[in-house]
Amino acid sequence: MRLSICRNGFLYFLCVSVCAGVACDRTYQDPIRLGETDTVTLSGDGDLKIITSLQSVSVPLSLLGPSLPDTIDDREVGREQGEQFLTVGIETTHETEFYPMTGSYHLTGTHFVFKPILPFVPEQSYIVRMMDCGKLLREEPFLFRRAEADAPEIESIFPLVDELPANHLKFYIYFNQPMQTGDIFDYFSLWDMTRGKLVARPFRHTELWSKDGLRLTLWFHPGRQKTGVNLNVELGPVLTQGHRYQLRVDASWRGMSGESLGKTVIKEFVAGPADHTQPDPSDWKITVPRKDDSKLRVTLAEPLDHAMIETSFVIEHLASEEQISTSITVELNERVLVFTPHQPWRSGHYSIVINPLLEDLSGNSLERPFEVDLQGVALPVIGNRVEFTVE
Amino acid sequence: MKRSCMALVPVIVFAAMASFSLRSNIRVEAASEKNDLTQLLKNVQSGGLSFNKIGRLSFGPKGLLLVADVAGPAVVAIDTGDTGPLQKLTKRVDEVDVKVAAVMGAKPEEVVIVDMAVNTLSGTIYLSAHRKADNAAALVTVDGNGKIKVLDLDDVRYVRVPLPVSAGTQVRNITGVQFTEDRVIAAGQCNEEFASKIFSLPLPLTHDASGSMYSTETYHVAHGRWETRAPIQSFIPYQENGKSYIVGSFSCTPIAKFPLDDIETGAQVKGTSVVELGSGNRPVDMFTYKRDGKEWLVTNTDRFHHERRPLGPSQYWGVRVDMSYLAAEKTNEDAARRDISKKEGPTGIQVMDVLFFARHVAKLNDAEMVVLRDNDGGLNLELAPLP
Repeated sequence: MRLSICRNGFLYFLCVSVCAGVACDRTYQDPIRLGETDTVTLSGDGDLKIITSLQSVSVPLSLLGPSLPDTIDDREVGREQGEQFLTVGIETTHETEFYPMTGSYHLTGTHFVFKPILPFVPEQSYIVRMMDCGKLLREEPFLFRRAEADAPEIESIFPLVDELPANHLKFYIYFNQPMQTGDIFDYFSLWDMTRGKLVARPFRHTELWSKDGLRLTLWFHPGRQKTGVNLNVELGPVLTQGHRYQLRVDASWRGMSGESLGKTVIKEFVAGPADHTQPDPSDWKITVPRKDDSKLRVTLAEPLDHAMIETSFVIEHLASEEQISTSITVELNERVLVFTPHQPWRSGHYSIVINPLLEDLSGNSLERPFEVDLQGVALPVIGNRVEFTVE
Repeated sequence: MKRSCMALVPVIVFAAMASFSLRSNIRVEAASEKNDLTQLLKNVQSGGLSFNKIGRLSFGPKGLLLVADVAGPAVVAIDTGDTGPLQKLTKRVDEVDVKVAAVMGAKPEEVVIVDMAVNTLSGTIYLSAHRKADNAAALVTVDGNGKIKVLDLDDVRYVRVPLPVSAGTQVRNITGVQFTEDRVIAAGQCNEEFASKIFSLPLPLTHDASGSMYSTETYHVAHGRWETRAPIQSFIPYQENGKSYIVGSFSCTPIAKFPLDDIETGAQVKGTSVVELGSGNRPVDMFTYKRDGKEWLVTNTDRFHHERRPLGPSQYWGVRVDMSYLAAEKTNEDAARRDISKKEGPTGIQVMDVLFFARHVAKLNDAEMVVLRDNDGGLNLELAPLP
């Protein structure tokens, strides 16, 4: 007997066929749909079975060793005892060593059921071993095949602009589904188009995901981007002014659907001059709302940190001291912030209050430049309020 | 009647527990049951434990396992009930990465071992692991006989303590979690500005309660600068003259101590750098041990540019530092710097041969540590002597 799972539409397919021993061929018969069951049952009937998910493996007691009572009532069975009769594990090249998945065992009266603590993984081959007091009687391989699913896509990479300061720090990469995580940095590379070679170790190897798993913050290594810091001295900065680069995300990276990106995603940019200047709101241009256009527009002197923009602005009506509820978008090469009020503006004076930690692309904030000795240095005081009037 | 090789013993889950339903799969128990952790845990939960993204581990007293849930973000304290007797690992476990992946139902390249801790009461080794295919989290145990299994999270008592945040801050990473005498400390980073934070969670750890958050500022000896942006990579609690500190290690690799007493929530805590281990290294684990009346700090690191400037046979290496350096008068710009041209120097700072290839280390006692060792890309698990 053998088990396998075949794909059809959006269902998980489990295909069960029977042959003697482990060396059976992989010809599958037409499947029989089992519907919404989560359990594969080894029935020995040789039929191909289809299920929508797989959470446990059920074996008739008749296929197990004679030492296992087959008239017992429903009950849970201790793990060590259960492993004397039934184990499930991955197919391995280590034929002499088999490490079963950890799970729980249950006797139903007619079947012996194994449920792993962690769910079975689609596209992974498993072996079901049936035993009598630890003595192997038969083993059956099966393949739990993934349902067809959408491939992940990268929706955007911020900054959107195609010129970045030579001391640029981080990218924000948005996906349309959570990606498989752990060891992700092999999927990223930085190609120096001007030199025609890859940049060695450009990234900080710390995974920083948003809570919903849809946004990754990818850092250039700060120790290489900061002037005078040891890695910057020993390895050099990541970017060279005037060079063109491609940030590449490898096509093989899989999403949680199990599908891969399918194509290499490239963000191309040129490295401009390094930026060591703090953003200063007094340099920004305010376009106040009008009767025919309720939007407040703030034209920046430079693009700012994409993620921090969302939480860094509060607009207050000065007379009432009320905070104005707005939504914020970024337009025109990330140079213009557009605030759309949720209620009509009242006439009067307003203040835009900016979080002093708001940074530009090089990590310079209103509070301090990215590169500064914090000890004994008088930092410039940059205001964090901008006022405007609505007539 | 069929013959039977053994009695099939029914497993009665929580049958002896006085519990009531909180949600469909969660029970709340009186804290006095089983292992008495009344002073340590409050509002203990049973069942339904899951991790959004499993992270660093450490053990507290009485078999209490602390686990960082990075994407929670939270610290989870698990009553493992694993209080002994001590049964140390009897022999090296080769290819432990293959075996851990197998019990998780995956191939080794599909599983990341995130961190390791050893329960000093039982000798059992705990690994936090992540399965890439479905981002599933697991706690995997290795007992003294080398037997490996996944801990059933539906079968443990725990509290989950969310990390404190202030308006506009979001915890992006948790780089360590440790028990002290009067609290649990976590370190990490918040927001996009990559600031380093310390989180203080009072005892007893209370489910769904929280604690305090401090910002940190550290003098980086190798940089010759004060930094707020570098996160603490690993740390240990430390007492000096009756005062509480944590000793943290940063990338590139200053070791600094931060005072914890009388700190207001939200305060900026200034660290004092006491030792510099050399540039291009990312510290991984830290612990202290005593030998011949002297106390040593052990830390293992991952060398950033090993291929360009190798320090030894592996990018993974470690060092021990005489703890008297922590009370040194010469600090910050005058802090002791490891002599990067030698295995030893200045006095009391020594590269440990036994830590070459060590991906993770954890102290079992003052004579032995557990080492998760790189073996040509695979991993072995072994006990190793402390010098």
